[in-house]
Amino acid sequence: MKSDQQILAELKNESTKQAAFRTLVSLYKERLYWHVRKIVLSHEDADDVLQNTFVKVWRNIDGFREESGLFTWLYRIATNESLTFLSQKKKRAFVSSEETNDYIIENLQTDPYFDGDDIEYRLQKAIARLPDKQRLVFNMRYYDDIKYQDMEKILETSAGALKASYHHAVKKIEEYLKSEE
Amino acid sequence: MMNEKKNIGNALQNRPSKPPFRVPDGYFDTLEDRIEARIADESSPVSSKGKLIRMMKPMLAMAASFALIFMLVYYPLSVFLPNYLAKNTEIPADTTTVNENDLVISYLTGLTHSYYDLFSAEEETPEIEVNEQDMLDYLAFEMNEAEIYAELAN
Repeated sequence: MKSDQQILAELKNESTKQAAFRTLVSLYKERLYWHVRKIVLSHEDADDVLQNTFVKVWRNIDGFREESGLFTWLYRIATNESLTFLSQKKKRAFVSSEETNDYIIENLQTDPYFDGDDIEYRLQKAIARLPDKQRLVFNMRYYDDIKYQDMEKILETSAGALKASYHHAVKKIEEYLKSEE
Repeated sequence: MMNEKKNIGNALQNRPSKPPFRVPDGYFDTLEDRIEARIADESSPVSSKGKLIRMMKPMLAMAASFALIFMLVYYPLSVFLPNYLAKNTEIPADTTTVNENDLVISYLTGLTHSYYDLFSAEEETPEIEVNEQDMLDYLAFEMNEAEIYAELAN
């Protein structure tokens, strides 16, 4: 398997760019997909956002200055694309953030690719009600087990603030689950 | 991490923290092709005709909207309430209180009259008196005898 450095070097060479990009997509598509899917929840939306993410990567690869790792850069683009996607939905529907969360939950209810039982559905509902930042931190920590040090680079927030966000998120989720019981 | 998870509801404590989603069969197998196709599609040059259509689209849409609004407001009024429309066209000079409906109707009728006047003024033909001899001279110049006979017979 090619290293990130090799892929980046090939991406900057016009003759190998196309093939290197294909390698990059193959290497990161699943990880990025699941990251996006946990934010937007429905498969259709996740597919849209993932494609937008890779198109953006292709357009901006020449400007990537390698100050952060490739993985961190890709995660950051995918996160921004997901949040932009949700905010555009909000603008188009003229709804508040809370109602956008309702949109996410409705999507989950109708998504044929949601496999969860009642408890998992309630957990997803509780996560969807969190503010964007807390939702991101919770998903990255709870499901992906990403270290706070790595999250710092992706979300450009200090580890202390991320830990606080995670604990706030857990508290809110717990309260929501108790209220639903 | 385990300690962090223990805080989240009793029912979730012993579950694997795996998102409860799946993807359609073969979704990831074709992703590279779809992304490449989209990039190729977006970077293909747009023809000048396509650019023109793209530029004209909002203007055409706006013109169509105005035409539609005009038809929806003025046409039903002219068909169902012609007297009301005619009455409202002439606004008395001493009117001090005008309601909103009167304003809209007078605006629309005023608008159409001004357009009508514009076009009708161009097409107006001056009234010239033509006597019978002039007519015959004209016909003799323009037509042959058979055509004049046919014209007069009618």
